[in-house]
Amino acid sequence: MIIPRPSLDTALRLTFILTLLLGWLLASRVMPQYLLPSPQRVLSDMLGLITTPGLRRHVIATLLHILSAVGISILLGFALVLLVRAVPLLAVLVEQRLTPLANAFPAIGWTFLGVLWFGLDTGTVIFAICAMLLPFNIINISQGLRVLDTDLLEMATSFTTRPLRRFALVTFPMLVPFLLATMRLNLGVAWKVALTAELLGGNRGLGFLMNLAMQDQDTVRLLSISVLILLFVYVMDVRMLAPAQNRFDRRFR
Amino acid sequence: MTTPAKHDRIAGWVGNGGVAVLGLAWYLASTGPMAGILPDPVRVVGSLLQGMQDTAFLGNLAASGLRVLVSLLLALLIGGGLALLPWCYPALNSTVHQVIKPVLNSFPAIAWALLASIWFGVGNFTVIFVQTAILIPFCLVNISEGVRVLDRDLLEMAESFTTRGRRRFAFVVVPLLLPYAVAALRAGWGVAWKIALVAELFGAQTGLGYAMLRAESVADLDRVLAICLVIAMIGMAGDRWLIGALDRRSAAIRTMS
Repeated sequence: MIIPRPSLDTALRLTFILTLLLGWLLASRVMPQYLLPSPQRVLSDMLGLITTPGLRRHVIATLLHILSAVGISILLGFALVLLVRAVPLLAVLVEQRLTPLANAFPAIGWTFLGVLWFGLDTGTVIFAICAMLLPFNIINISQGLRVLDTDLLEMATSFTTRPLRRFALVTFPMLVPFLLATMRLNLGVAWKVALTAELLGGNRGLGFLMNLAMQDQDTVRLLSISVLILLFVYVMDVRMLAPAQNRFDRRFR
Repeated sequence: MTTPAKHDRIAGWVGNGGVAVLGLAWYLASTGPMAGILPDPVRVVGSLLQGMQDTAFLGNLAASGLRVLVSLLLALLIGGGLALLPWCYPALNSTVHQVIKPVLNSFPAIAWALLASIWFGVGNFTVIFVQTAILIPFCLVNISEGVRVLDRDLLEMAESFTTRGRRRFAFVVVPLLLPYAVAALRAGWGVAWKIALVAELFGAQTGLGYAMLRAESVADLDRVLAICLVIAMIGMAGDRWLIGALDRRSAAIRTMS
């Protein structure tokens, strides 16, 4: 096995991260605790978020909010795109009128509407995330379906008359890269919206914890939640979803 | 048999008519069976029109607008600078693209808003800081794309014309990157207005976000939704006209260069 020599590029990257951490450490010595707590305190609070059962349930609540909202919104997006394909006359209404409007409508608006309909509860949070993601999904899924290889589909029709078999063996594999890309985009956006929605319209989750921390001016908690999310998004996106997407792209294209 | 042109025309009618029908259905539901659950669109639009004649509301709109413009400009400069860093010093590539970009990209807006309001107090600086922090990755991603495809031949030609690097940068590199800067502005414009709401909710005494907080605290949902509509319209209008015009202009500069 060949161990690659660490290049200048990697060295500079590590130096940059270390300098940032060191700068934070030194600055936290000088600045008052409530403005900039030390990295150690933030780290121990972050571990507390994961290990203390009373706090961990908020982390799990946020995860559940995001997963259910992403699932519902992708399904809804699919349903709407298939509807437009079945009734092409609706294309302008859905793709050129409603999608841009939904896309430009702020997350806070959805959250306040959600509060009116579902109260300060899980329903509001899931609704707000869902509404925010839906336009992305409509745009992406309809683009994905548009570039489906019609020749391949025709060939598949000549091989079997069973539409389910065609879907499973030809259509679905062609859609996988798009679904993964959509999923990746969704998860990235959902994290950020989830916090806002939970802060303004929820009664559990990391956003709710942020609300409490804000009232106590608890900078340690605010930073520890931010860093936790940063790490989570990084690990999920860069280490898991991006490699998966690369693999599927190579396999199916 | 319908021709494509006719089909498009009908789809256009269905589009506009559909919006009207949905609006009417919303209105009927909100005044009839679902009163109190659905906000009445006529009252929302009324609140919007009333706001448009109210100097305080217009002042808030102007405050948000100014801050959006300043943040977009700052983000463009900082994001563009970051995008050019690996071009000047290739060894910085992974520092910019594997550390700075993902960190700024995944840091939640609400966390910036809360932290900045603790760090810098309430004021213009806090709001502009939050918006700029959120917008930088948009500019970085778009302009990096431009840097990636910078025309080596054109740069070489420029080198044969002048030895002054600054002149080459201003007359060749910047015009080549302009379309990508416009793409960044286009992506950032709508986002900036939406983030303005979040940032001003916690960090300002003026602006649409502050107006929204006031409306929310007295349970004036009509005004809250009117403000959301203003944001949505500004986002869509900017996307369609303002940035479209910039796009054409930068395309013209590009063909000239």
